[in-house]
Amino acid sequence: MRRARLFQMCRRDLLWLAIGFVVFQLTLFGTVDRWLPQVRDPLFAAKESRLRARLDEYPVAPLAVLLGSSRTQLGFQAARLRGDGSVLAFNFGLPASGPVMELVTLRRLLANGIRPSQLFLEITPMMLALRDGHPTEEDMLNGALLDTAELASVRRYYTRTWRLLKPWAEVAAVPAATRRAELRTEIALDTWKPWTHGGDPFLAMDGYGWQPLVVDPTPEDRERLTGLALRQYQPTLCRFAFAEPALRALHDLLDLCRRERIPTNLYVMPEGSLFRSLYPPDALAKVQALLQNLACEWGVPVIDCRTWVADEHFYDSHHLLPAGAAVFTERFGREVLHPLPHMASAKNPMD
Amino acid sequence: MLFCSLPFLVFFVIVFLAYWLTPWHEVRVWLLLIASFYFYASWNKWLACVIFVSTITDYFVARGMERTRSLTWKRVLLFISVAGNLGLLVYFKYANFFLRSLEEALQTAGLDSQFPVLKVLLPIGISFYTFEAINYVVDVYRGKGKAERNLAHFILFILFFPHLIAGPIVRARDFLPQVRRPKRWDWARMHLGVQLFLLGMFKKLAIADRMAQFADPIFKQPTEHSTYALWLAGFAYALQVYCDFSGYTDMALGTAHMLGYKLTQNFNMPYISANIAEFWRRWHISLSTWLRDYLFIPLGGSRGSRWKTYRNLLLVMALGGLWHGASWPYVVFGVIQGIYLIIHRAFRFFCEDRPRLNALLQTPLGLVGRVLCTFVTFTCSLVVFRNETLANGFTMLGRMFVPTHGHGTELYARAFWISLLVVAIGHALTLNGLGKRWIFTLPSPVRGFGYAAFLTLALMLAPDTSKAFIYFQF
Repeated sequence: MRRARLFQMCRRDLLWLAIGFVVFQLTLFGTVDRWLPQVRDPLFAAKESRLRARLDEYPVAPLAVLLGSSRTQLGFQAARLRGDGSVLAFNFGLPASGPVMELVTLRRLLANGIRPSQLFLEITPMMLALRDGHPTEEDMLNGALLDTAELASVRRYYTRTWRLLKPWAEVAAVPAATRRAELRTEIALDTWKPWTHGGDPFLAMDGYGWQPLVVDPTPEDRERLTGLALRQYQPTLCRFAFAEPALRALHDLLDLCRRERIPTNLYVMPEGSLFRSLYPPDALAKVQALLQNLACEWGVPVIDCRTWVADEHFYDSHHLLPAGAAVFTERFGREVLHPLPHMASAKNPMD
Repeated sequence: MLFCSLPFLVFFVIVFLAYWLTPWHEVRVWLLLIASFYFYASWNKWLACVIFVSTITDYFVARGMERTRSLTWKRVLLFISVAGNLGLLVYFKYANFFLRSLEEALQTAGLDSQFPVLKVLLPIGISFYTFEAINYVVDVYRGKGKAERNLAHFILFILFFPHLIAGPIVRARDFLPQVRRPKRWDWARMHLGVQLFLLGMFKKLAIADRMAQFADPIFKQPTEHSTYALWLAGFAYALQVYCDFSGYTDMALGTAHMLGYKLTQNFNMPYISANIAEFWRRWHISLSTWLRDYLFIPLGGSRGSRWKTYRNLLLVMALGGLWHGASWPYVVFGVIQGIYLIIHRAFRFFCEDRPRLNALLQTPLGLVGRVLCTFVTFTCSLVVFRNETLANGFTMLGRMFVPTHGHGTELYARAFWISLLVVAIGHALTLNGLGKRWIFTLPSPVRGFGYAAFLTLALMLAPDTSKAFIYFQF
């Protein structure tokens, strides 16, 4: 009799353990999803907090935000343009971003009360193209960075929904393990001292969102990284065809800008000569035609910066080194940002 | 395949389900055998074959030993088995160490010598299963145990995956009867298994791996850190090595329980030991008892003169140190333990003639002092154990005792103190079964949610890159 009672108690304990574990994971998931975006997407949060700090620092300067991919993230040193205080530029480049992630980013910024005076949207031709019959961004966007509402809204740009849901579900299933580093930071369980590199993964990011990745590559590094980039993008560019969902996302993004009355510009980041040579003539023609159509249809200026920077300033023929970023930023500031008429009269985006 | 990793979880769930869904006992044994072989082969299939062959050899040697009536033949067979097992251990683990040491000794003597470096891969867990095989054949030789007739049972005794990599070192007379006994599903046992596994996981992920973040950078550059940081690193390493190894053992015990097997206890709160002799009765119990039964006692134990006992203690502990790894810091660690044991023994005799001192040491304050003294002295020996070279170890020890300026720790010390407090509370709750009694007064949902919270916390506190268990390298 006592043994039967013991068995029953043990069975109940194990059942409650299972239930408790599921409840704890669901609670953590819900908390992260609803209230802790910085745990879900720490890079976005790090950029947003830096942007807010800059807005506090320059309350009257008009805000120009560059939304783009890792090319922008590594290639635009907005801090170089702060000199006269007439414009506050900020680098909101996020790795693997295409039109879908740019749309998500803009929605988040607007929802959080940040409204750029000028918006610059990077057009990365590969991110608009098909890779193995599916939109390239579909393979690159990490669904785990999105909350449930965002997940529902970007599903329409996916040809394979599982590609979006799989990484999200993997992380959402056991957030205690998959989001442990961010959760520890959030509840101050990490106890690295400030001078160490243990606590902040974005220590290398400056106050304007620029984060160098490769600083001083050896010739071998360049060769290896260039080979990697070519393997990654050459097949897409050789058989270049636009992905309809990506174009739809881009149109939705421009539509959002129009509805929000945000002056918008499109730009293509610099590419090395080797990378530029990957585009077959018809691919290049298709991209240029698309840019022209967008400019006409949406009334947005298009800035083609592909040839602005010399080859030695890239580490893999499409990502800029810090010196290249300086060259690009100076010219972008001089030729694009400062001449814009909106920049002088705009109000603080936080007002 | 680390116990607290996703691949192991998947592996174990499959084995667990297949095991309990199979109604036939012998099929279950074979299933465990295949799973254990796969478990080891997932790391290196060739070395898995080496263990397999050496195990089969031991099986036939023991059978032969039992069948022969000739004492000479028995001795020959014993020699073959022990030499074979130790030969494998020496070849894989110590050959390069001995060659390097000999080379250095010859060079110091002014002779020009250079030995080749053997390119051998150290089979993980070799020190553990070699000792298991040796204790089996020695027991059969001594007539303390019978040779196992069933080959599958014997191979499972050596290869059983929960204890294969880092012990505990099981005895054939404890394990083989369990293999023969058909298993029945038992919720109490499952409960105990899960409890032990969770406890081990918490120790490993939430304490040991976090303490490594304290200790590693300081042990890497001991000359650049302050005395305070060095002491903190020493204590952090003491916590790390205990929680890492006892955490592994708890997980091994838990996993075995879930499959219906009971492995021997390997730790019994060693850090509350009041002296070093007690410490070694509580720390890595399966190795300590092995060394006692198969080395210390055959050498004469403590039956001879005082000096003979001291010699035996020193020799056994030095070999115990060498067992940990092929480098001088391990040997010196063992020698230090031997010296500690000798000092303790001498001090005990000294106290026996001084009743007032003896009484003072038995008071609560005296007990606390003795526990602290044991912990600190063991921590000091761990400083030698943890450093890659003896020079580094002694430099660090020197800086620990001579106040020196330098860098602090990379983490705020509160993480260390919290971990120490958690371990202390854990010990306090385990004393006299206090915690167990208290836990079982709680209602099931509270207990279940408590376990779940424990698991969640362990997962959250785990560093992003989990470290392999320290004792895997031994």
